[in-house]
Amino acid sequence: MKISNIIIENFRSYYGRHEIELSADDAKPITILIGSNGAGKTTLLNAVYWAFTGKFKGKFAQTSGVIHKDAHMEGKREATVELFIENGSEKYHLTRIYRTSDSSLHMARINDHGEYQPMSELAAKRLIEQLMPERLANWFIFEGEKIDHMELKGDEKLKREIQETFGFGTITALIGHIEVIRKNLAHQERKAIANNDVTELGIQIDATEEQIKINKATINNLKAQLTQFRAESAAASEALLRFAPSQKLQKEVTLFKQSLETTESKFRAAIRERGKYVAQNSLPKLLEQELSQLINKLTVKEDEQQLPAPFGTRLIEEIKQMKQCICGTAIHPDSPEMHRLDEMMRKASTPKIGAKIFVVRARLGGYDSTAKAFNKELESRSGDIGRYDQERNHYKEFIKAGNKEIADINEDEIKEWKRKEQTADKNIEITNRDIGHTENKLGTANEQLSKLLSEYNTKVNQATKKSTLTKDRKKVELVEEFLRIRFYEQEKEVLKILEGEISNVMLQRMTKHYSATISATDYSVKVVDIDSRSMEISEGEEIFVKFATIGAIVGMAGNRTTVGRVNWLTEPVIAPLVLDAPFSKVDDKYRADIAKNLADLSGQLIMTFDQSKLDEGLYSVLEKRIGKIYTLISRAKGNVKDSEKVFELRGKRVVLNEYGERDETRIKEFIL
Amino acid sequence: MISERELFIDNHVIRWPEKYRPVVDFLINGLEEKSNDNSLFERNVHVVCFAAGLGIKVARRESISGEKLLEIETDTFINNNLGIWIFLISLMSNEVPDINIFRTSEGESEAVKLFQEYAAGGLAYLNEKFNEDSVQTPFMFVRKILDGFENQDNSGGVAEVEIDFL
Repeated sequence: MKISNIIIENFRSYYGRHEIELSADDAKPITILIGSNGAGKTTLLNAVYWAFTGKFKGKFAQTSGVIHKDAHMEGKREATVELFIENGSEKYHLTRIYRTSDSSLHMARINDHGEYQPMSELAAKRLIEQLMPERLANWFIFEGEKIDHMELKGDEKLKREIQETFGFGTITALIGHIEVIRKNLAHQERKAIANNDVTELGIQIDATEEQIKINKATINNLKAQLTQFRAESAAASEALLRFAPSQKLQKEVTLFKQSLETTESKFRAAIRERGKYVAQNSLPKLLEQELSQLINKLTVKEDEQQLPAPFGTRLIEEIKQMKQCICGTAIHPDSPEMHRLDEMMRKASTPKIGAKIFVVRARLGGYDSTAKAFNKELESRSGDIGRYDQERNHYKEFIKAGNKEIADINEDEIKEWKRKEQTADKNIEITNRDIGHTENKLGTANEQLSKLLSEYNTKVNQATKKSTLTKDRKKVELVEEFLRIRFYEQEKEVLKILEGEISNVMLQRMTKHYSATISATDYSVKVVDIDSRSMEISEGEEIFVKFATIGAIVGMAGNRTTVGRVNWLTEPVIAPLVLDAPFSKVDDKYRADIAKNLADLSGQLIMTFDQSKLDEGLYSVLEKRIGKIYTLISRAKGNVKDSEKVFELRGKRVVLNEYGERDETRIKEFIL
Repeated sequence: MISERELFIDNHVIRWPEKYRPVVDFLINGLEEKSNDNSLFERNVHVVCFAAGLGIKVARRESISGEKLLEIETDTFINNNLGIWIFLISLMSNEVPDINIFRTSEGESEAVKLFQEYAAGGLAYLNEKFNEDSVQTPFMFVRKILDGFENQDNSGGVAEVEIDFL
C-alpha cells in the first residue's frame, strides 16, 4: 500500500486546504518534509495516523484545537484529512472529517475511469483494518523520539505486533478456531464412550485444559502489567535523565538495571529448573543403591526362570478343566497334582504380567541411569546459579550505589522520580517472578495434558476404532497439525531471514563484528559477537539495531529483503513508513546508514526533519532515492521579527519562518 | 509398552497422617504459602512418594491406624508418573521381590498398604529432621538428606543424617 497524496484542511496549524503529493515511485520511494520546531511536522504525522485510525496519539490526544483557530473563528466547523491510497492496482480515496460534535469516515474506490465509488462505513473500516491495522499503526507511523520505548528483549506486545505485521494473526486465529472444533469433538467423543477409564481421563483432560487456559490468561495479564511497570520505570528514568545533577548517574543505573533484569530472570529460571530437576529425580538418587539391588535380584529371578514363569495360565486352566494332564495323568480335585497346578497358576505368565514386569524393568533401568547422573547434573545446574548470582549481586551493588548518590541530590523532584522508578522496578521484579512461576505451572500442565491425551488416544483407539466422532476428530487433528507445522515452518523461516537481514545491516554498517539472534519463544533480539557470545551494546548501537529491526520487518513484509524471500501463507501488512524526526536520538555516525537501509527496505518512506538534520552528507546518501522534498513554513501572526530560520541545500536557500495575518503552516515544494 | 494406569488392577487411595502436613507443605513451597523461587516439590503426592523412599532407606515403617489421615488417589500418582513407585517400594521392601503384587487385587492392596506404612515412616523421619534445626529452603533440606545418605552408602556407615543449616 502506498499513499500518493495527502490533503489537509483546517487541521490544527494548517489553515485552508493544502495538498502534498508524495513520491510513490519504487525507484524513488522517499518524501522528505523539512520544518523547524513547531512548524507542523508532527501534526502532519498525526493527521495521517488519525485518518487511518480515527485516534489522536501522544500530546495530540486532546481534541481542543483540532480545527484551526482562525478557521473556527470564521465559522468553519470541520477539519479534514484526505488520503489517496494505492494498493496494487486498486485506488482509494479516504476522507476523515473532524467536527466538534463527532467525526466521520468516508471512503471510495476510484475506478479506471477516475470515478469515485463510495463504500459503506463497514467496508471502509474492514479495508483500513487490512491496509493499516490500528494496532500496527504505531509501527508504520511513529515519532523518532519514541524509539526508546521499543523493546528488543522479548516483549509480548512486540511479538504479537511482529506476528500481525507478517499476517500470522490469521493463521493463529484459524488454528484457534480449529482447536475449538477439535476440543468440542473430543468432548462429545468422551461423552459418547461408555468406558469408565476414558470418562475419568476425559474429566482430567478437561480440568487440565482449563488449568492451562487459566495459566495462559494469568501470564497474559501479568505481561500486560509488566509492560505497564516497564513504561512507568522508563518514564521515571527518562525524567531523571532530564535533570543535570542526576543525568550521568541515571544513565549508568538504567544500563545496570537492564542487565540486572536479564540476569535476574536467568537466575530465577536456573533455580526453578534445578528445583524441578531435584524434585523429579531425588527419589531415584536416594534409592540408588536399593534400585541397583532390585535390578540384580530381578535379573537373578529371570536367570532362575521365575520371572515370569515360562508357562501360560491358559494351559494350566485347560488341564484343570479336563482333569487330565497332556501326559495322560489324571488330576483329581484336592490331589497333590491339583495343588501343584494351583501353585503353578500363581507363578504362571500372562501377557499382562509379562507387560507389567517389562515396564517395571524398563523404568528401573531409567531410574538407575538418572541416579548415576544426578550429582553431575546438579553440580552443573548449581554452577549456573552461582554464576548468575554473582553477576546479579555485582549489578545490584552498582545500582544501589548509583541510586544512593541520586537520592543524596537535594532536589525534591529528583527524589520523587527516583521513588517512582524504584516502586516500578520493585513491581517489575515481583511480576517477573510471578510470570516465572505461572510459566512453570503452565509447563507442568502442558506436560500432563500431553501425557493424558496420549493415554486417552490409546484407550479410545482400543474402544472406538470405527466411531464417526473419532474419525472426525482425527481429520480435524490432521488439519490442525498441518497448520501448526506450516505455521512453525513459516515462523522459523521468517525469523531466520529476519535474523539474517538485521545481521547483514549490522555487519555492513557497524565497526564491530556484531550480528543478531532472534528467539523463537519471545522474538527477543540479541546482539552477539563473532564467537556467538551475547553482548552488551551502547545506547547508540541499540538504537541502530532497533532501526535495523524495523527496516528488516517492514522490508520482509514487502518482500524487499536481501537475504531471502518468504513464501507467505497469508498476506503481510505492507504500508508506507511515516517517520517523524526519525534521527533525533540517533548517533550522527549511524544516521546515513539507517536512512539508506530504511529506504532500501520500505516501499514508501515519508520522513520529517528539522532543517539542521538533512545536511549534505545525508542528502548525498539518499539523493537517488528521494522523490519529493517539501518545506513546512511556519507563519506567525504579527510584525516581522529578526530571527530567520533557514534551510539550505546545494546552494538553494529557503526561509522557514514568516510573519503575517495568522499563525499557520504553509507547505512549499523544495526543488533543486 | 503399557501405561502406568494399566499396572493397576483396581483404584486405591493412599493415606498419610495429617500431622505431617507442616513438613509436606515446607517441602513444596518452603516457608511461604504460595509457589515461589524456592518451591521444590510440586504437590503432596511428590513428597509422599519421596517419603516412602526415605522410609525404605531408613527401614522405618509405621502403622497409620488411629491417625487422622489425608488421602491421595492412585490416579494422582499415575498422572504424575509416580504410580510405579507403589510397586517398587513394595518390591524393595522384601528380601525376595514378590512379583505377585502385579497378579491379583489382593497382592496390589498389599503393595498399597506397604507403601502407606513406609511413607508414614519416611514422613516421621522428615518431620524429625524438620523440627530439629532451623531450616532454610526445601532444596537445601533435601540436598542435605541426599548427601548424608550418599556418604553413608559410600562408607557403609550408620544411617544418621545431621541437618545443620546455621
